[in-house]
Amino acid sequence: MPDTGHTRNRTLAAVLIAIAVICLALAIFYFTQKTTFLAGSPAKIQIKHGLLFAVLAIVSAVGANILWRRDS
Amino acid sequence: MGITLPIALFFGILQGASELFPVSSLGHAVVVPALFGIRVRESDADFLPFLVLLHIGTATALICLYWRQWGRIVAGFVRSAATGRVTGGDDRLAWLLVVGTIPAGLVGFIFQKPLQANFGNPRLAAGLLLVNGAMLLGAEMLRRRTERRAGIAQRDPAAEAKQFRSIEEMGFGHAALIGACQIVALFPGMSRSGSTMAGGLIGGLRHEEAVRFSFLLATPIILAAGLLEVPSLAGTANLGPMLVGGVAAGLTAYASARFLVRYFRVGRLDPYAYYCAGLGVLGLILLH
Repeated sequence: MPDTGHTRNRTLAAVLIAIAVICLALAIFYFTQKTTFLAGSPAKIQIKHGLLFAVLAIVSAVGANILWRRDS
Repeated sequence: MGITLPIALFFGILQGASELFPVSSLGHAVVVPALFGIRVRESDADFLPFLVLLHIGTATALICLYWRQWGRIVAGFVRSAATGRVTGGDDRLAWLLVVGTIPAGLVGFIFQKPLQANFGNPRLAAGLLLVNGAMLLGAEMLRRRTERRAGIAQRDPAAEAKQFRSIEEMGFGHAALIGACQIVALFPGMSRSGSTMAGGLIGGLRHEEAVRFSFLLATPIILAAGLLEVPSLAGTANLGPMLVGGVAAGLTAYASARFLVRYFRVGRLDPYAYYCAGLGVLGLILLH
C-alpha cells in the first residue's frame, strides 16, 4: 500500500524548495536591480522587498528541511 | 495639520483601542477623524513616522502581554530550524504562526499602499464597517449553530473545552486559512482582529483561543509594519508628541488586550458587530 503521508510530505517539501529558490532569486533581484516590479515608483533598489523575499526564502527552506526529515 | 500633542494622543488612543478590538483600526482612523473634522494628510511629512511609532507601541503591548509565550515561540522556532524537527507544542505553535502570517504579510506588503490610496475614503470605510459587523455576526451565528448541535445551550467554557479546540490542536491548513482572513483588513473598515477571530471560531477554536491566536498573529505583522519604516524617523523634528502618541497607543492596546482576553471567556462578538454597524450607519449619514 503506498505511503501517502510520506509522499505528501516529500511533495510539500519539494514545493517549498521551489518556493525558496524563487524567493531567493527575487531577493537577489530586488537587492541588485533598480525596479518598480510590485513596488512603487521611482525605479530603485527595493531593500524592503529584498528583505521580505530573503526571509521567505529562509523560512521556506527551513520548512522544506523539516518536512523532508519528518519521515527519515 | 501637523502632529500636535492633542492630535498624537487622540490618534494614539484611537489606534491602541481599535487595533485589537474587532472594529477596524483603519476604518476608525478614516471615519472617526472625519466625523470630528480632524484631518491628517498622508502626504504630511510627520504622517509616516507617526504611524511607525503607533505600530511599534501596539506591537510592544502585545509582546508584553504574551512575553513568556513569545520567548517560548521564538525558542521553539530556532530549535526546530536547527534540528529540522518539530518536537514540542512551542515548536508547533511557532510554525502555526509562520504559516498564518505569510499569506496576509505577503499580500499586505505588496498591495497595502495602492489599496489604501484607493479605498481610504471615509464613506467607503463607513460602508465596509457595516460589512465588518455582518462578518462578526455571521461568525457567531455559525458558532451558535454548532453549539446547538453539540447540545451547548449558551457560552459554557467547560462544555466548549470538550467540543472546540485550542490553538495547539489546530492543523496547519486551518492556521493558513485563519491567517489569510487578515487580508480583508487591507480594506479600511474591515477588522484584522475581527476577521481572524471570526475565522478562528468558524475553524473550531474556542472563543478565548480564537482571541489568543488573533493577538499572536497580529504581533509580527504589526511589528514588521512599524520596524520596516523606522528609517523614516530619522530627521523628524516633531518626535516628542509622536512618541507620546506611540506610548498612548501601547498603553491603550495593552489595556484593550487584557480586557478582551477576559471578556471572551464568556462573551461573544455580537456587541462589536452592532457597534460597527452603528458607526458605519452614522458615517454614511454624516459624511459626504
